[in-house]
Order: sequence, then structure tokens, then C-alpha cells
Amino acid sequence: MAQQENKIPLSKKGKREMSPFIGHELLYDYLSGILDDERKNAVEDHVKFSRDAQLDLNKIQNGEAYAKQLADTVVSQPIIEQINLPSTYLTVLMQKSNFDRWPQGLKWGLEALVVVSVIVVLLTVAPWQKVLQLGIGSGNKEVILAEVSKEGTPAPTPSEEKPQFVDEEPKTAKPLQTPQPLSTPEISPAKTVAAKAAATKPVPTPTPTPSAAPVAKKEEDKAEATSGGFLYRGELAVTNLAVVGPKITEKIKELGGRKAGGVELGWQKAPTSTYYHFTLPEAKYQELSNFLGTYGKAHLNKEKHPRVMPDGIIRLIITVDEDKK
Amino acid sequence: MTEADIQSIALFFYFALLDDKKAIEASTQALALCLEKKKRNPEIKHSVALVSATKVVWDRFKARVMRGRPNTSVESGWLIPEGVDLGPWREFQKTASEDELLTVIWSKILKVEDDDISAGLGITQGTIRYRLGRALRKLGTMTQGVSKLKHGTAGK
Repeated sequence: MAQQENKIPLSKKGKREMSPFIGHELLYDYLSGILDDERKNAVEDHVKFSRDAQLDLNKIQNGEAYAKQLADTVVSQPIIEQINLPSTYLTVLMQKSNFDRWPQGLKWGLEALVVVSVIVVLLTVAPWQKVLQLGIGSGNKEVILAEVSKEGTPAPTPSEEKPQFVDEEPKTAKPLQTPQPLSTPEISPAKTVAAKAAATKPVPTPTPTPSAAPVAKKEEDKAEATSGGFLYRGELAVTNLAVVGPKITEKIKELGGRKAGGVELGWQKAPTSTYYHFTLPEAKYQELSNFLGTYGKAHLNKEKHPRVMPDGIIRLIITVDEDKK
Repeated sequence: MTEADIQSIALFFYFALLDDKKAIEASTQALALCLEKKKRNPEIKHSVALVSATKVVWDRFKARVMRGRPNTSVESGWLIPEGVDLGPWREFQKTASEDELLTVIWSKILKVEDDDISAGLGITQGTIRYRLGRALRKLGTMTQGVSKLKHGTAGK
């Protein structure tokens, strides 16, 4: 009796009766095979006479069979690898902080704060000056067609200071006014013709500075109509130019003459020709003419020129050539 | 953790969430938690740790998933056995209670022993068996219902 009590728990009335409800709830245990024989028989009796119990038993069997089929589902290797990947610091942080459980408003607020912070940092750190300069620089409308670099300087650069006047070749235009007759030996008609021919012949100019020449030309053309200045242009043929040339230079300086063009006084234009471009007090003109007359026949013409000289100062260009005779 | 354990975790969340991407995400978290549990208590059984970890992660994800709106595709890498229709399961996942759903997955799909499930959840074996009985009855109803609909015998 005591053994039976230990083995099977009895009801208050000492019986193990099974109600339909209990029988119904024990269906899964019955199918699992974990009921003792007495309970098993009781459930079988219940199922035998209960249509609902039969249906439920069938359902449980179907459900179990279906679940068994689903159990054969396979997870592909890429998914397993994806799951097996080591967690990043961010994901661990999210897990530790239980970010998923935070209230939605707090999450959104935090995200907004992060975005605003990033924008503020970007606006503060970004080099806006450079960006603006780049923007303005790209919109520059200046177009450089060509860049010319000046290589070397003209051969004769004896003076560093910028010449006040531009050296030029003698003009072929007829002089407006003949100069005063010089107190030189008489000029033969043949020599006069030769001298005229020489005057019309183009003489290579000393290389003027590239930038100054066009400007000077332009100024000349522009002012030609309205100009009121004069230039004394002349030629002189001498014997032994090598000796006479420096003497003329010295004399010009002595008379107060100063170089006017880009070259020094007495510049060796050619082996048999020197060039003088200078300014001189007008009062000394006659004296210079006399001096030149002692070396040869000088032809000095007064030409009209746009540049107006200061009162009392004249400008002269004289070419001294070796006499070919 | 073995590859079989990882597969079990993945299957649990696939059938519980019916969402490819979230299943992977949840599985990653559950695996990490499982490893942590094993590290903290090396004596714990794999299956017990698995049940415990999957339950914790499920609690995190259940609010994020709208049950009854599956988000799965055939090409996603979850290889359902040929000839098996997921329709009854979708219906079951939608209508079953949380306890029933999870217990069926652990017990019948992952083949975890009832002892381990009860140990992992901290409840009695009787409760587990009771939930299983109810859950299988529902799942069986779903399979019959879908079968009837498929064969055109519904309502006859």
C-alpha cells in the first residue's frame, strides 16, 4: 500500500480518475510516450470516445511532422560567416549600452546632436578663405594669349638709367628750315648730292628697348599733327675717325652736352661710323658747329619733331663717318 | 561554439522573426551573448546557453518586427527543404503566442531537450510540455487549413 502511494499520486478519494479536460491536455504527453501505463490507457480510452480528442491528436501529429520538416532547413555558409564575424567596437558599444531599448525620442535627439556637431565642426575647421579664393580665381576673365620672356639685353647698354629719348634713324623728310650756314670750307655740288643720297639712305638704328620703341612711335604719330618741337640731325665725314671721334665726344661734354638716347656719346655704330645723340644748350650750338667744321663738312638740318624740348635746350643726332676718300 | 550552434541560432531567429536581415543581426548578437555566458560560466551546457541567449536577444528584437509581415526571399541563403511550404509557419508565427512560438522552435526545430529549455528559461518542464502541446495543436491546425485551401476543400 505504501509502495503504491509512493509510485502514483492518488486523488483525495484514493482514485486516479481522469476528466476529459485532463485527457485533452495529456495528448501531447501521450504522443511523447512519457505517461505511465495507467495514464496511457486512460488517455486512449478518452480519445476513443471523444471526437475532439481525436482531431486534436491528429493536429498535434501534423504539427510535429511539419516542424520536423522545417528542422531540415539549412543555413548557407555565407550567412554563417556573416554571423561569425567579430563584432566591431560600435556594435559592442550599442549592445552594452542597450541602445535598442532607449526611447525613440532619445535616440532621435542623440542622432540629431551628432549630425549638428559634425556640421558645426565642418563649418569651423574648413578653410573657407581658400575655398572662396579658388571660386573667385576660377571666375577670372583675364586671358593670357602669350607670355614673352626677354632674353638678354641689347648689346650696347652702357648706361643703366632709362633713356629720356629714343634713338632713331634719320628721317627722309625734307627739313623745314635749313640751318644757318656753317663757317666751314665751301661745299662742292658733287658732295652735296652725295650727302643727300646718304641722308635718304636708311641707316640701321641702334637697338632701342622693345617696350619703349612702340610707345615712342605711338607718341610720335599721335602728336605729329600738333607737335611744335625740333630735332637737329646731321652727318659728318672725317679722316681718322678713331682719333677724331673721342675729341668730338669730349667737346660735346665740354659744351654741356648730355647723351639723350640709349647709347653713350660716340657709340660705335659700325666700324667706320660713330653715333651721337645728345642734348645741348642752344647757345652752344654755333660753337659746336664751328668745332665740327674743323674736321670736315658737317650737314646739320633742323627737322620738325613732336617732342618739344625745354626752352634753351636743343636735341641733336649726328653721325660721324670715316671719310672714304 | 560549433558551427552547428551558430546554425541553430540562425535558424531560431529566421523562424522567429521571418526577416532575413534582422535574423542575421539578431544571430550575431545572440552568438556574442552566448559566448559571453560560456565565458562567465564554462560549466553551462551549450544548449542551455543558447536558449538563454536567444531569449534575451528575442526580447530586444520582438518590438522591431511586425509579426505577420515576413521579409524573406528565396535567394537570401536560407535553404528551406524542397516541397515544404512556409505558409503554415507564417500563419503560425503571426497568430501563436510568444511562448508557443519560441518553444516550438527550440524543441521541434532546433531539437533542444526539454530539460535544457526549462533550464535556460528558468521554468518547469511541465510548463514547457504544456506550451508545446498547445503550440503543436495550433501548428497542426495551420497545416490542415493551408492543405484544405490548397486542395479546394475548405468549407465543404
